[in-house]
Amino acid sequence: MHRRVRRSVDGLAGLPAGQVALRGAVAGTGGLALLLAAAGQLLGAGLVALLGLPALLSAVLRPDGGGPAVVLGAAATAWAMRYGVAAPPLGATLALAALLYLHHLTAALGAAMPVDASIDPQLLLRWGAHAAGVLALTGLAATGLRLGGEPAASPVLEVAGLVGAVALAGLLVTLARTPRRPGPQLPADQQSAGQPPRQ
Amino acid sequence: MSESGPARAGWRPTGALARAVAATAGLLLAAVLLRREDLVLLATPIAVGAVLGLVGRPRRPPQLRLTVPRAAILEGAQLVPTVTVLADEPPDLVTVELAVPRWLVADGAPLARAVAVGAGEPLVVPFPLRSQRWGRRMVGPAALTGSAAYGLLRCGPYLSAPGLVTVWPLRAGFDAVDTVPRAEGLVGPHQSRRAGAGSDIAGVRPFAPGDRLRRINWRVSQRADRLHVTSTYSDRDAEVLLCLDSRHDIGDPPASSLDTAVRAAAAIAEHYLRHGDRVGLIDLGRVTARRVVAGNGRAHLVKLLDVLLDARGLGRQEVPDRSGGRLVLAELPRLAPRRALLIALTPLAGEAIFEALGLLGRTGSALVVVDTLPADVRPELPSEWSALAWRLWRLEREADIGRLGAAGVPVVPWLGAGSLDAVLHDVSQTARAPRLVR
Repeated sequence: MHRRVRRSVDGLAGLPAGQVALRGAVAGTGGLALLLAAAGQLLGAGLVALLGLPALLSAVLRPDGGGPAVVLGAAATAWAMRYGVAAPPLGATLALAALLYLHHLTAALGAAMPVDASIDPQLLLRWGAHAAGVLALTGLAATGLRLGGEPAASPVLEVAGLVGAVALAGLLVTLARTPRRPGPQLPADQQSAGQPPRQ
Repeated sequence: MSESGPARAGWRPTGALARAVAATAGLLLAAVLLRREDLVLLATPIAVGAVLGLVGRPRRPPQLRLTVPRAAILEGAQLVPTVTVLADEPPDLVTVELAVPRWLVADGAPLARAVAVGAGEPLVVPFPLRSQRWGRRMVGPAALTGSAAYGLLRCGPYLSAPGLVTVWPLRAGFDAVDTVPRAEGLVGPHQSRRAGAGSDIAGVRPFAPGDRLRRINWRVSQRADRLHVTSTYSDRDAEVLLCLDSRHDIGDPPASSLDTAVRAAAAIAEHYLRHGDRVGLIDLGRVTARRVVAGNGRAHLVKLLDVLLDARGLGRQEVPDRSGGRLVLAELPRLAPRRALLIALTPLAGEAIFEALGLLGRTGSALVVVDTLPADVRPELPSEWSALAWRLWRLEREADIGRLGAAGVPVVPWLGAGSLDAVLHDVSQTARAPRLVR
């Protein structure tokens, strides 16, 4: 295990700058999310967040592994434990939501390419615009929830919530299924014949 | 040049999608059970991002094509293969990777690139490479992987067919100022010993039937009251036979004995072909000798370089001095034309080559041996006796070289331009003198 980590760390030393920045973003967003979720609590939430640190290292070295999922789970669990049944501040909630989403997105981006690939800046702009749009919609949702107020306890509402959660998960799985279709055809081209070069 | 074939067709979910589904479902369930709307907020961006990405996902995978320049290049030169990517419905991210063989290295740009592709517009991704050694290399395949729904879906890798790159040996400038002994061809740049049409004056003699009228020397004819003509030596071309000893490849590429031999052979061949002589080649590193019959012209130079590109040192499991190797060397005196200048390029390793060269020397052939053993080569040291064994081998080799020299076969190291001048002069003088052939 130690050798694998060492090899991975040595591999990081020769990476393009874009990859280093991307992995820094994975580490930064995950680390800040764990810190915010625990927020000074050494026991309980703090311990849970601490358990997320090895997963954070794994997320940086292998973003296509289970590390990012464990970081999300640890941060969410620590957050839930920290506040119990009390309502946390909206600002901190939105900040944690943004950090968790950015950790998830940067890990997905890191997993989509080889570790030694250079990154086109236009690519980062495209993904950044997508993240900004999603966070803006999240802000709108937060505003809607704040204006709507806390719903009263109701078994019907609870069942509806459970059904909604399952339905949303099912929707994502359904959307992920795509029919196979052939891609576009590239026209054939001719290459020029060569002669031995003159010195 | 080579279209893509899908290794795995269609889009498939990634671990990020599983993570998004699990996180969304888990947080929403926890929100319902714990009655905490903040957990809904935590799940919202992940769920919204997934829905937006999946709704706008492409249906068709992208395509790629690898184009490798066909023109041959020299060692140290740059070539730029390109990968063209086309997508009607562009994914969020396309990764293109190019596999390159040994002795071709990336030159200023990495071999893996993550790029953004526009809809319907081919994107050309260049991969500048630099060659480090002569030979034929297969560049590629190129691999394309696409990512959609912002990392939640993936397609590929799609692979292209590889392309062939030809790298000619770098021919350091070679020049030989002396004439080639025994110029016996029909026309060429060298003065032969025979009278005939040419540019060098042999003398003035009385007119004989058959002499051309424009050869009449009027000044001498007036004084002698009889027609006299100016006679000339005929201009002939010469035949040069290069004997490449590729049985042993000693030292570290790209400066091993085989590298030196190939570059030297290419330089010498180009020099003599440029001067109008005929050049042939025998590669001794085969069970049956690979031979190129002497010819001239630029097309012939290409043929010679093409054979040189296939030169390979024999593996450690093969013993060049036995069986096949000895057969080839034993045939060398029969294969070598008697009137040709023989230039053997060899690291002079093993008994068989010394025997063959000694035999050639005794047959009266005009022979020059170019020593291609790198000066700084050192053996691997698997045991405490290796250094001593190496010294003994070098001393024995020096003694064998001395015996060759005593038998009239000069051995010179390859030093580029002018390497063979002194020895060619001596060989020319020796070739003109009458000798007894055993």
